[in-house]
Amino acid sequence: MALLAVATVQVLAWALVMPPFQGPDEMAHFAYVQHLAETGEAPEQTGGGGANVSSEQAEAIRWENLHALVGVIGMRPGWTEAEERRWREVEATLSDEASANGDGPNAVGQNPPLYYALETIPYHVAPGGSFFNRFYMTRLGSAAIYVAAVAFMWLIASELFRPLWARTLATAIVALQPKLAMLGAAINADILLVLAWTAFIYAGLRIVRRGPSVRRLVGAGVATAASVLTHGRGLAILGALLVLLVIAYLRWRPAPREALRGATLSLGIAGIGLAVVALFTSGVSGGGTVYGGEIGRIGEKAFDVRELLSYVWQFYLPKLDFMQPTIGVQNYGFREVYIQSFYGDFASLEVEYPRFVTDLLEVATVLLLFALYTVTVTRLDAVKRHWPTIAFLLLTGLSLLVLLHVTAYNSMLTNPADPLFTGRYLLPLVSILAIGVTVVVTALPPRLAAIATGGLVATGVVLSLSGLGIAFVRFYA
Amino acid sequence: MRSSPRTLAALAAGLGLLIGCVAWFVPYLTRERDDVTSVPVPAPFFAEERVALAPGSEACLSDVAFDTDSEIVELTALAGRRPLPRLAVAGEAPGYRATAVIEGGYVPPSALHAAIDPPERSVIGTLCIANRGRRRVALLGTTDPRTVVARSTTQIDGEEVVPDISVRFLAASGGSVIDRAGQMVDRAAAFKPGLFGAPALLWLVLLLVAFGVPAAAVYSMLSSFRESD
Repeated sequence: MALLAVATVQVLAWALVMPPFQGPDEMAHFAYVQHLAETGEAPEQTGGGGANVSSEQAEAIRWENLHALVGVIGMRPGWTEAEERRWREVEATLSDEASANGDGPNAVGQNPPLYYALETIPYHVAPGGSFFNRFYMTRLGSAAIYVAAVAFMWLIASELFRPLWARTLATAIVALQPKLAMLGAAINADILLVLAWTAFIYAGLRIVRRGPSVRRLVGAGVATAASVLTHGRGLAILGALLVLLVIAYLRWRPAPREALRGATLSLGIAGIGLAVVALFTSGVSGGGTVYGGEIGRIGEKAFDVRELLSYVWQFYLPKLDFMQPTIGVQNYGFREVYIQSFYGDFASLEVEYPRFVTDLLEVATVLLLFALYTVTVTRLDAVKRHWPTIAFLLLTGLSLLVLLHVTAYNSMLTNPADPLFTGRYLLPLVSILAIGVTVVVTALPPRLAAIATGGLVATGVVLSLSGLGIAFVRFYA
Repeated sequence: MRSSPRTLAALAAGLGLLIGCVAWFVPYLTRERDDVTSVPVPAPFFAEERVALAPGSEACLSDVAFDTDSEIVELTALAGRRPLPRLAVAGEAPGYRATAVIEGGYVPPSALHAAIDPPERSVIGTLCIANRGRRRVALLGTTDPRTVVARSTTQIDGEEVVPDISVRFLAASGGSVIDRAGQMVDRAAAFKPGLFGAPALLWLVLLLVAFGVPAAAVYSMLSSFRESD
């Protein structure tokens, strides 16, 4: 409960401190929510009447001076009474149509509608009817999703770790992940992806550790459907579901008919999700391709497996002599994605931790990988005993990483300037990070484990407070 | 006597928080900073643009917010071969007029500061910069899509021009975040309706973050060790 309170307070603070539309792509995501809430239809990705946001949103942005604020560190939002007064005067003159005319083009119009449909609930229950009331209530909708993801992390930790302190540590790592708290406060479908994956990992762990039951299989299927109904990146969960079913079969060896029934149940629910996506896709612009062509955009330039492998190698490791320079942005890889923008780069990426923090986090992450390797080789018996759990977690993570790299590579074939891979795309795997850290700490001698736990919780607190503090100063000093 | 895991965890957490406070938070929060009171048009994000102002010409920015502590207008002159001409700066809004002069002779590129009297209550109006010298001056402007979307637009001698002049307002004296915490909370409360915009709520949430989050996180960790003992 204390950690849920920690998560709630943090996300509430981010929701109030970060000015409107400063979260990643928040203008487009809110425009989607608003158009769906007001008209029952998603905005067009490439078509529409030319209004990528509603007139009401555009006026709010104008009078709080929010457009030039996005990603521009020297800009400040409007905060004078005169601007606020002028906005109220303008708002009073707006017709109902002004809330409903943002029909596109909308840069996130290709996204399936689940997240946005959920967000129409807080949008509609906002008291008073003012634009900013609806906006902040919608942010609180995201915040509730974030808190639910932290709660699922507690369930995962309870499933995996016996000592209460280890469960607490694993949950604290997620609750104190600063970027996740910021994302929870923004209007962005990625936070529902985090919840869907965390819930899927929980259901999957229950299946591989305790055996498949109808409830667990339905849980895994629902989480899978939620993921594919949330974002194109959510498709990666299909690979994870297949892996889960195979591991569950190998581990529990059910009778063929029972196995078929279980697989049909999970895959059937996931299939319903996919069918809804296909139905949705057929009705939106973007060429009628799945997710508006964002995923699986192959064929615009030759897809070269060697080039892809070279890109992936150079993403993580130094270029070898025989390799060509990587496609896309040079010197953009592990540090920028797994460290810098995974823990930091808040708002629209412009609110950064100082360099020494990124350096320390990078060292800590590399140490964690070495520590995990050491734990693996020194406890091979335990690894063999728990192979279904370990394989499930590793392959689930891998399924997302493969999709992210292939999609990024595809995208760079047409636009090399945009690596299309940033740290928040990894947040659906934050529970696996927390498990990894906790496994290492529990492998330490008890006294050392206690010290490490205290140090990690303190580090999480310091990172969370400083991220929020830097953002507060960036916007209002 | 050997310390219990709980005690060791408490010591490690306490030490970590202490290091964070002493090495990072305190210097960060007590550092003197400019007090930016309003930014009509920010400096360009990608490439700087020159906005040339001929002798006798006047550039005006529309929809500029003048706050009650907007005491300094800051412009940037771009590099030229000769010293700057004299510039006259005027802020105008219903019930408000303030003027100032930036004496010529500086060697650009340089930030130009003009002290103006702020309004008694915030107003939205026009900021004009007139070239009173005999030479042209090139001011920093922007056309890039990230920054040109600010509310204010620029006209020169009544004609709208594409690069907007980058300008911001400062208070005469800055201060640290600690000194100005109340002002920053008030700024954060702007445009938030009802309960969302109550400064008391913001204060409560920020205090809960500053003290409640560390306390609750450490408490939950220590409780978990107690139950494991």
